[in-house]
Amino acid sequence: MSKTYKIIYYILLIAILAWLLPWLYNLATLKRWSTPFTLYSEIIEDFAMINVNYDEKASRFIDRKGNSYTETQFDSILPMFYYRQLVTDNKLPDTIRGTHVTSSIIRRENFIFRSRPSEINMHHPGLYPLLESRSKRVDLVMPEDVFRLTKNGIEFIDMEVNQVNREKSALFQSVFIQKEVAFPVQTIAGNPTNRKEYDEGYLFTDNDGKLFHLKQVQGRPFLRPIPIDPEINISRIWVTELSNRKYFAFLTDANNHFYALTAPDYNLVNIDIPPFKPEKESMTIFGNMFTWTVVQSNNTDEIVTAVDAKTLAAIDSMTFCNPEKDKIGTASYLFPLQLSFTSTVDKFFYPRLKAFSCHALVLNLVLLVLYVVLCRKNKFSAMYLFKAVAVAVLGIFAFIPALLLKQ
Amino acid sequence: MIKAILYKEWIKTRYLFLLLAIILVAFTAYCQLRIGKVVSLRGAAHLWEILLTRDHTFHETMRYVPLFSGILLALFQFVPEMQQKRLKLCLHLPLPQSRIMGTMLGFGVNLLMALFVATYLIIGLYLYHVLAPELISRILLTMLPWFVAGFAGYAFVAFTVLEPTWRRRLLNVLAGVAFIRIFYLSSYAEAYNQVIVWLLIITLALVGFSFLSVSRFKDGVQ
Repeated sequence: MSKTYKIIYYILLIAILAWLLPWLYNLATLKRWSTPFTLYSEIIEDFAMINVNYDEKASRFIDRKGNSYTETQFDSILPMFYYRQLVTDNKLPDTIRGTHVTSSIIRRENFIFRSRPSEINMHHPGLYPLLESRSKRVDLVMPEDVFRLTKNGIEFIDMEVNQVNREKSALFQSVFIQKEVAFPVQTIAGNPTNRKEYDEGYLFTDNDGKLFHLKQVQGRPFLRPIPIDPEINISRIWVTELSNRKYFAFLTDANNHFYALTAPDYNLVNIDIPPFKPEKESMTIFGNMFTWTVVQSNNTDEIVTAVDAKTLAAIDSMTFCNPEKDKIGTASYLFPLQLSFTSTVDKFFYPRLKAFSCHALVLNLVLLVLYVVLCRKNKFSAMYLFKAVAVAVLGIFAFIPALLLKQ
Repeated sequence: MIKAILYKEWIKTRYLFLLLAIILVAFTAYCQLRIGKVVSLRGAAHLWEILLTRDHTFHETMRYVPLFSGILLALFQFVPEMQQKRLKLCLHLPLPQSRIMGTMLGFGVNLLMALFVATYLIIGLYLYHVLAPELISRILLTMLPWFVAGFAGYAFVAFTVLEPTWRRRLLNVLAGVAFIRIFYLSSYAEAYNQVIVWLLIITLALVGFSFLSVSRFKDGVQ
């Protein structure tokens, strides 16, 4: 039994080192990769960016062509973003691109939309508060109940008494049946908070892929089927609830196309940007009444697309690439593999192995020779052979425990 | 003979068992008082809202209590054996070495299991009246890695205490710290759901590391 445990202990030490050594190495050598803060300027009709130089601790205000601006000039070429500063400096123009603007119009039309993979790749308890979307009060109020979607329907639970509200459940269930919702529901999204201007409830797709809009209006269910092209297979939904009330939601389909669902007419409009994978990429949209600057980023690239706010067609785009992305780092020569358990793109814990690095084989062979020399007085055994093979394949991770457990 | 070994283990650990039971009940009661306070001051809806929108379980205070329990139990069970060289006598009993050690380790694991299951039952029964099953399972699953860490603490402390040499003890401590660390790497709710069963199986298997230490002890490794 002790022989088996000797092997298990050796494997455990290898696993611990495969996790800790690359982690320590990355901690010591981690380089900051940041992209300039970039927005599309309606004035110069090009991308304008703030390039932060961390060595000089100074910011450079430039456009894509390389023209430099002072901070005040930069405010003026991005009036929709810096309108509050321009109002304070009394420099906000009355008209931009032929359209009359005021600070209140700009405030109403501006929005920032964010999606992060870590907000998607996580466990959700499957309970949803449904706010009253047309209450007679100015402020929204959190409800006293939540609903759950079961295999066959919808159920409301009164939170104070922790019991199913059968009357309300039956009322909503009858509407779901009337509108021919195919259970179980596949994807559902909403913003269950009272810290917003108004409530649009939830959007969901049923088992047949049909899209629905669910709200609570004066205590009654509002459920509307949304006709969309049956070819479009909706995979992810974000209810927007923007101040300008022009859109119900943003959506992606199985082919990673990105759409906006317009309000109040429920038109699904394709937004002309590169494919967006919300489970792996982050997205930020800085929107205003003229253009949207859509920023899609992952660990290696950042794509910035300017989109016309009226037609949602692409105007221009640019890409920032991490200069280190194709380089073979020193870690590849040191470690044949890297083990980690957590990630910035999800909220799950599980072992993740980085692909085997053939570049580490040279070091592995050197360590193997060293191991054979250091243990030359040891009797040849199956355990000795096992450790030698482990050193040849797993390099430093197997070499250190092999020496530590030499006895 | 087995009964006699079990009785010996019980004599060694009975007061600690009582102490650990009191500690676990006290921490559980404290967490429940916090939940009760939120419900009485802000209403049950507020409690549900926090659980739905944040990675908060109201049981974070218990995070290291199972680990502490596992470590203490292993120390109380095996330090006297090593200090007074009683282990040598134990190993001379007319039973296979693996059976003797298996009984001692099994006793410890079962004692911890009893404490942890009782704690889980108390928490689950209390929450049953306040929360929906989805939220109860969210809390219990988020807490589960902390309880598995209790078994890991027991396994590695037993492994270290029974080890005859200081050099290897240091290695065992470092390996134990690294292994136990993985149970506290993520604080997100239900983060460990995909692997927690595997972690529990691996951890219970690692309790057997003590056989390695005893084998070295018997071989007279100095």
